Amino acid sequence: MEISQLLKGVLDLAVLAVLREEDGYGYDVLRRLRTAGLDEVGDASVYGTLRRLYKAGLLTSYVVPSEEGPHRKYYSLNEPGRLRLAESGKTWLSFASTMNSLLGEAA
Amino acid sequence: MSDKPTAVRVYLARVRTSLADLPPTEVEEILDDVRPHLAEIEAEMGPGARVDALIERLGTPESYAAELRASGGYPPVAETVVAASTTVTKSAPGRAQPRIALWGLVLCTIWAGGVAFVAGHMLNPDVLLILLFAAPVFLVSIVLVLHVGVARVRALPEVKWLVATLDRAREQESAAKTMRFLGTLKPAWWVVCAVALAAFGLLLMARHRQAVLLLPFLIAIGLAAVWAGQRVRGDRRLVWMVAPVSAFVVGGLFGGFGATVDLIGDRTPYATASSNSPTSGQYGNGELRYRGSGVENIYAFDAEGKPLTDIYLYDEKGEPITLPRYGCRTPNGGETKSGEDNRFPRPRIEMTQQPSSDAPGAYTTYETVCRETAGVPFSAAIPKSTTSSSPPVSTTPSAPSPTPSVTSSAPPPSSPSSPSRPTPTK
Repeated sequence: MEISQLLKGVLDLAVLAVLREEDGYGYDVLRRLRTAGLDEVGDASVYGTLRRLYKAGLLTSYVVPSEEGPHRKYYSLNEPGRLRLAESGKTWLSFASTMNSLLGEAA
Repeated sequence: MSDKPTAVRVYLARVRTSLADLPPTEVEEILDDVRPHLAEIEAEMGPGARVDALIERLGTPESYAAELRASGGYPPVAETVVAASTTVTKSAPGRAQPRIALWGLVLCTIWAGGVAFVAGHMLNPDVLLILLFAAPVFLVSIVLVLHVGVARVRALPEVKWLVATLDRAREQESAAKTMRFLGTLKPAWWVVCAVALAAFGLLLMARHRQAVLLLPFLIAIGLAAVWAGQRVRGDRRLVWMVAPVSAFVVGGLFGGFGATVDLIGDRTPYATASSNSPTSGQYGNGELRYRGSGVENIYAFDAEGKPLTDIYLYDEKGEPITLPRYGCRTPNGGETKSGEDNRFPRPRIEMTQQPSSDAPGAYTTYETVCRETAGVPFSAAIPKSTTSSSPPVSTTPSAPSPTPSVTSSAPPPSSPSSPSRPTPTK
């Protein structure tokens, strides 16, 4: 099964998750996702997702000038974002355990 | 960072173009996220990286933009940007209306600028009526743009080309700096527009009273420009309002500037009037006028009809009536101004063509000779009844002054002070 297909449903959750501990600019978020093992995640998809979460009011942003190169726009999780992360996290966990038990029986 | 378009800038410009139908502020936000990443890649690959290398790594800018759209919840690219460029046959008939809307706007903008220039230059409010000629075009343009929407206009190839060119410029450091600077001036510009329009209205009103009707109109347009200028980024339909107004103000300012330059230029050079134009008195030289035309010389006669030479003229306040005096430039170069005084009559100045004395060979060459002639060129028959203070009925016995003669057969002169008929002596 294509991981990219699965990612579509959970990318929001993944992005919220990597911003839980620490704010990050777009490329940070991408790197954290890659480091976590989501190699298939597309660059543009991450940036698009960040914008969508921001427009949904789950993220706030602030700009930090950079010595070398373009300025960086950091995103941070706000209160609605944390609530959403908790909610979606719960949904995912129950979904995953359902899938696990399903697959455990089948395997 | 250098100013030359690097691969990253080219790539970003293409992404930007592919997102052209999204709100510009949103596109900026997206590119702010993308830019550090691309800068990192550029640093990795070195400054000589080619666009192809980026495309190999990230996919084409267009597919990158499509992915951004899909994940960001933006409308898909299909109906606006790509549609116009890929499905030419289908969209060909649909382009007529947006195109008329666009070029109608361009035409009206140029027209407004030009008319304002002329009106500002001549300071004549009537010129503004010429604006009405463009009104039908403008109305059609507005109706069409409201009907088809700005997106269709933006999808026109000429507009896309313009937007892409601007985008490419924006990715260059120096041009981007200039554009940002101009961007910061924008709010001020709309205020300048309003002030300029009001000032223009006041100036016209000072010159022509009927322009008072224009003043509230111009002020209303100025206020509307301030209002629309703030919102034009969000609602591109307002371009149809701010572009002609801006052009009008620019044209008016240039025209007014030209008029000012003309005004200053008119004043100065004539203060020292040119020497060979005796009648150019209106810029500071004294000039005598009689019945609408200039008087260059004055001849006086006494009661016997004897011409008087060397008389000095004064006005009723005792001021000498000083006129420029002209004489011949020596030896024979034409006439020249030799001074100013109130002594009359002046010698006549005559230009004659004479055979040149030192003409070689068979050809007779002529030269212009300037000659000053003193004396009076005519004689005047002074009517006998010109005793100024004594009316004919008064019986003054044995008056020593010239008396009205009983034998005077001349008709009563209508104007006793003027010679009845000058008869040239020559």
